[in-house]
Amino acid sequence: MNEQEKIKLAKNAFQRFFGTVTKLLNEQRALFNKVMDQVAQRKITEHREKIKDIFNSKNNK
Amino acid sequence: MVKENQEDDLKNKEQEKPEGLPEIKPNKETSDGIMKKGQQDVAIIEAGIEEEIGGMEKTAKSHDVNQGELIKIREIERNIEEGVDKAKGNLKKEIEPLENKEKEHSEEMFTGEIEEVFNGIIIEAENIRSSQESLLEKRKKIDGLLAQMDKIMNNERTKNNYAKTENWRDAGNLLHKIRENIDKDPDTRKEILKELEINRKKTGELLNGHETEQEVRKKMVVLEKEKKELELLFADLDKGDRDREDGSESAGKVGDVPKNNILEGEKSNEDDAGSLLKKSEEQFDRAKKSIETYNQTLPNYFEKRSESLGKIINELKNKNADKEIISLASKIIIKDRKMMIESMCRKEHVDIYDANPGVDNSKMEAFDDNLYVDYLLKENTSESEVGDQLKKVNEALTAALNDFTIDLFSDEYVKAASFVELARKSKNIKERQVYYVAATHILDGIEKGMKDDGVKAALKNKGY
Repeated sequence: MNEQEKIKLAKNAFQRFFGTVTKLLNEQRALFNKVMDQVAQRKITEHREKIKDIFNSKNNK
Repeated sequence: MVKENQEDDLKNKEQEKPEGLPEIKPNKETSDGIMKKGQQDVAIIEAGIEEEIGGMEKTAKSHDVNQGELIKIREIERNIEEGVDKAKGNLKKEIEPLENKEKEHSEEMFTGEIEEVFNGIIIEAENIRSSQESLLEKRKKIDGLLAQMDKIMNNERTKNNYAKTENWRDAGNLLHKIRENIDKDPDTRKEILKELEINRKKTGELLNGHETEQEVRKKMVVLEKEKKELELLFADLDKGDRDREDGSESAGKVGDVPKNNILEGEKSNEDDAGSLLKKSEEQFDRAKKSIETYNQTLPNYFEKRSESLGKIINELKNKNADKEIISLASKIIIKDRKMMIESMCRKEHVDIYDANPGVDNSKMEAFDDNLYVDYLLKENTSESEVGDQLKKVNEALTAALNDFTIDLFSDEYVKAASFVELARKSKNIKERQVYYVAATHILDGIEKGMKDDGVKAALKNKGY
């Protein structure tokens, strides 16, 4: 294998690695953001329910 | 602009070089150079990923995520780590053949070539020193160059060759000098400490998560045993539930005790009324005593049992046991709590309604005074109103419990849920009121105790 071939192979190998890692990170970041959105939504729902309950409870006193 | 300055600095430094060193040759693209640069970039990217994972963990903690959400986030972190490891494995497979050939080449290196390699290292070290990169990155790159030098040094033939030159010593000295100075810098020290902390945590995680196969097998056996025990407990509780539904709980669970025996005794000894009465009285006394003991000890028993199950659950969570097992253990705790509360409520119910309604506050120890006042205030609430309230609270709690989105291990939520469930099943309006009041009272407590700025901010954003 001559030097030019080695250069080409090395470049391709690293490019593939960086491409794979970038894709992986983007996918996992999107998943993480989705979980955090769910966390926010869950907290809002819980809070809203509690507020409703307390409000209803007070109205009935 | 920065690049221009760096180039100027480099030119100046080249001019300042002591006499005797060979002239620095411009960098040309070589497979060796590409590999070196590529590996440095991989190291930098890895550090960046570590930082990102740390950021995810920090974000999750600051948003007070629950167990289910934390499991999802840990899974994402694992995906990243495993994905990067896999990509690194593939990269290694691809570049190893190229590296081997390079090694073969290095074994054949002669003095002139070695000089060239170390000149390259000197240029790179100077570039690193004058670059605008962070101190931590500089340190990493310098370490990379030192490792590269060590690798060359380990080759006997190369060592013999370049021992004849002074360039390797210059390169080594320069690298060490830069590294030493960087390490003296207070900011760098902080960064290094931070890096050490990340590594320490990572090592801790590795120790916890990547045991030897033998250790993993041992843990699997323990987990399997625990799973079986939990299943047995669960089956036992299910049976208890069925028995109660069948009406066989009349004397409590201890209550294999004697009510039926008394009746049987009456039937079979009709002729001996005196003896029967005495016997029945004795049996009744024993049953009464058993029930009293049962009522006194049951809450403690379940409290202790829940505590030990809680420990098992934490262990299971630490061992990343699968969700089903954790869920199973959680269900047992909820059932235990339910039985405990049921038992307490049954006792309170008798004290409040059947014996001397609302007079003896000392008997309200299981609940508290506020609850009792609330009960009195609500005494005139209509059944349909109570039903509506119950429905709302029940829906909210059931949805939350089913969804696994609340902390199942929070005693308060479990208690509230248990009360709602009891109220829902009860056909007695007053009993339902007591259970309902207990549930809302607990929910009020949770609401008052809620201190989550994140939630407040989110609510504000949504216009609440």
